[in-house]
Amino acid sequence: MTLHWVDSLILILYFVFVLGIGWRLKKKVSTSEDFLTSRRSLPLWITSLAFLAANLGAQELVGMCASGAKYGIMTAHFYWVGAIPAMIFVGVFMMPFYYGSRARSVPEYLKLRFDEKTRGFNAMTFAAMTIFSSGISMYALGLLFQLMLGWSFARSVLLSAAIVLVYTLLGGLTSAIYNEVLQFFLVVLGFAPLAILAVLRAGGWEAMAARLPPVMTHSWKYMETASENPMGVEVFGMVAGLGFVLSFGYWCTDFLVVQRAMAARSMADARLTPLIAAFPKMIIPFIVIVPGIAALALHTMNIGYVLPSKGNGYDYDQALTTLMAQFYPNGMLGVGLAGLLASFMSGMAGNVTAFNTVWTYDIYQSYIRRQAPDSHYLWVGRLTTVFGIVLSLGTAYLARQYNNMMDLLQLVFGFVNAPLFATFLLGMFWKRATGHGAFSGLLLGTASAALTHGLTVAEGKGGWLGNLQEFPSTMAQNFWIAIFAWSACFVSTIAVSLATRPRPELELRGLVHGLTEIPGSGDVAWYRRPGPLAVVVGLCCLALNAVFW
Amino acid sequence: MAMWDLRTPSGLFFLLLGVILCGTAVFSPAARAPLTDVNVNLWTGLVMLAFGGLLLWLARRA
Repeated sequence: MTLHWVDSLILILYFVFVLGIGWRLKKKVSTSEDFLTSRRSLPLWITSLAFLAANLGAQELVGMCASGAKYGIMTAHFYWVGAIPAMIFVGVFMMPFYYGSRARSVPEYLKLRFDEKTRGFNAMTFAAMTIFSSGISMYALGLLFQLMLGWSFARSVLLSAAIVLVYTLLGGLTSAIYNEVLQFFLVVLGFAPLAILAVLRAGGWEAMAARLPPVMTHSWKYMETASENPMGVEVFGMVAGLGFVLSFGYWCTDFLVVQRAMAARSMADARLTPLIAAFPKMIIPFIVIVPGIAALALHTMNIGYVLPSKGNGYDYDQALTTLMAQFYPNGMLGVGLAGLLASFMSGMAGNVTAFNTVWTYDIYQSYIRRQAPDSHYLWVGRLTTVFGIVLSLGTAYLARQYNNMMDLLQLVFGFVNAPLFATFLLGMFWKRATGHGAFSGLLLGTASAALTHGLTVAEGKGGWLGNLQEFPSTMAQNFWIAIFAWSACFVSTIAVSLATRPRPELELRGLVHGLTEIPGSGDVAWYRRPGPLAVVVGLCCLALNAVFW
Repeated sequence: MAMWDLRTPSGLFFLLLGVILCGTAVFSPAARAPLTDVNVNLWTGLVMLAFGGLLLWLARRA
C-alpha cells in the first residue's frame, strides 16, 4: 500500500499529541511515586481503559485477526473465557489485598505476604520478561511496517522507541496510561469500521456464515472433542487451562495490568477498574476477530480479495493489513496505521513502565541501595526508562538474528508464569501458607511445566525427554502444561507450608483474607459496588456465549 | 482535579482527525478503496467529529 500525504499528516498529528501529553504531564512529576505509581490519583474511567488497553497491543490486533481467519469465532474464548472471569475475580476478591497492603508493586506484595526470596524470584523473572516482550513487540512492529510500507526495520523501530522514550521519560506511568487511553479510542474508531465494511461486503453476518464451514461461526458447538475444531482443544482443556490457570495467572498477578488498577484514586475505584474494563473487553472480539472471519469469507467469493498464502496454507498474519488495503482509502488508512503504531508503542510503554517500578523498588531499592533520599529513586526511575528501552531495542535486534532463541525464552517464561496464580490464591486466602511453601511451590510448579513440555509432543514441539502424550495442537499442549504446573505448585505450596512454621497472624493483617478489613461501599448506587457490577458483567458474558453458541 | 484532564487533548485530537477526514472526503470525493463503494472517509470523519465533540463537552461540564 502507498501512503498519501494525508496519511502522513495523520501519523504526525498523532505523534504531536502523544509527545504533547508527555510534555504537559512533566510538571506533575516531582517524586519517585509520581513517576512510578502515579501516586494513586487517576480517575476510574482512565484506569479502566488503561487496564484494558495495556493488553491490546498490536500483536494482539494482528494475531487475533489472524486467529479469526484460522479458527473463527472460537477465538473469542480468549476474551469471554480467558479474560472476563479472571477480571471479575481480581476486582472483587484480590484488589482489596493489593491496594490495601499499600504495596507499590506485585512483587512487593509477595515480600510483605511471604518473604524476600519469593519476591526476588518474581521480581527478577518479571523484569526480564517485560524487557523481552517489549523487544519482541518492537521486532514485530519493524517487520510489519517493512512488509506493509517498505519502511526499513531500523526506521520504524528507532522512531517508535524514541517517541516512547520521550513521553515515558517526561510523564512516567501517568503518561503511559494517558497514551494507552488515547490508543484505545484510536483502535476502536480505527478498526470498528473495518469489521463493519468487511462483513457488509461479505453479505452481512448470515450470508457470511453460510459461506464458511459452520465451525467458524460457533464458539462452543464443536468443542466436545479436540478433533472437531481447528484449535484442537476440548472443553476441559479450554476451561481449565485457558479459562482458569492461564487467564487468572495473567489478569490477577501480572503487574503490567494490575499496576493500572493500583493507580486508581481509592480502594473502591481500584476494585471497579477491572469490572468496568470488562464491558469493552467483551466487545473487542467484534472489532479484532470478526474482520479475520470476514477475510476468509471474502477470499472464497472471488471479488478481488485474496488472503495471501504461505507454504501449503494461508499467511493468516496478513489478514488485517490486506483488509485495510482493500477497504480503507487514503485518509482512513492513516488512521488505521496510527492505531497500529499506537498499539505497538503503548505495548512497549506498558512493559517499560512496569519494568521501571519493579526494577527501582523491588530490585534497586531492595538489593542495591536501601536508604536513599526519594530524589535519588526518581533519578534511578528515569535512568531505568532509558536503560529499559535500550535493552528492548537490543532484544528486538537479537530477535531478528536468532528467531529460535526468542521462542525458547518465551517458552521458559511460560513455565515461570503458569504456576503463579496458585501462589497468589493461597497467599491471599489461606493464612497458613508460608514463605518457604510459596517459594518451593513456584520452583516445583515451574519444573513441572518444563517436565510436561519435555514429555509431550504437539506439532513437533516438546518431547525432549520422551513422548508420553501427543496433543493435536501446541495450544492444547500449552493449556495442559499450565494445568500441570498450577496443580504442582498448589499441592507443594500446601505441603511445604504445613511442614514449616506459620507467620504470626499479627504480621498478616491487610494481606490475607479473614485478617483484613475490607471497607464496605457505603451508600453508593449498585453500579458503583463491585458485587452487583460483577453479576451484571457475568450475565452479559454468558449472554454473548449463548448468542454465538 | 489532581491531574490534568485527558478529555481535553483527546477530544481535540479526534476533532482534528474528523476535520482532516471530512476534508479529504470533500476535496477528493473520488478517493475510494478497491472493495467498497462507501465513502469511508466521510462517515468515519463524521463519527470522529461527534466523538471529539462529546469528549470536549464532557471536559467542559466537569
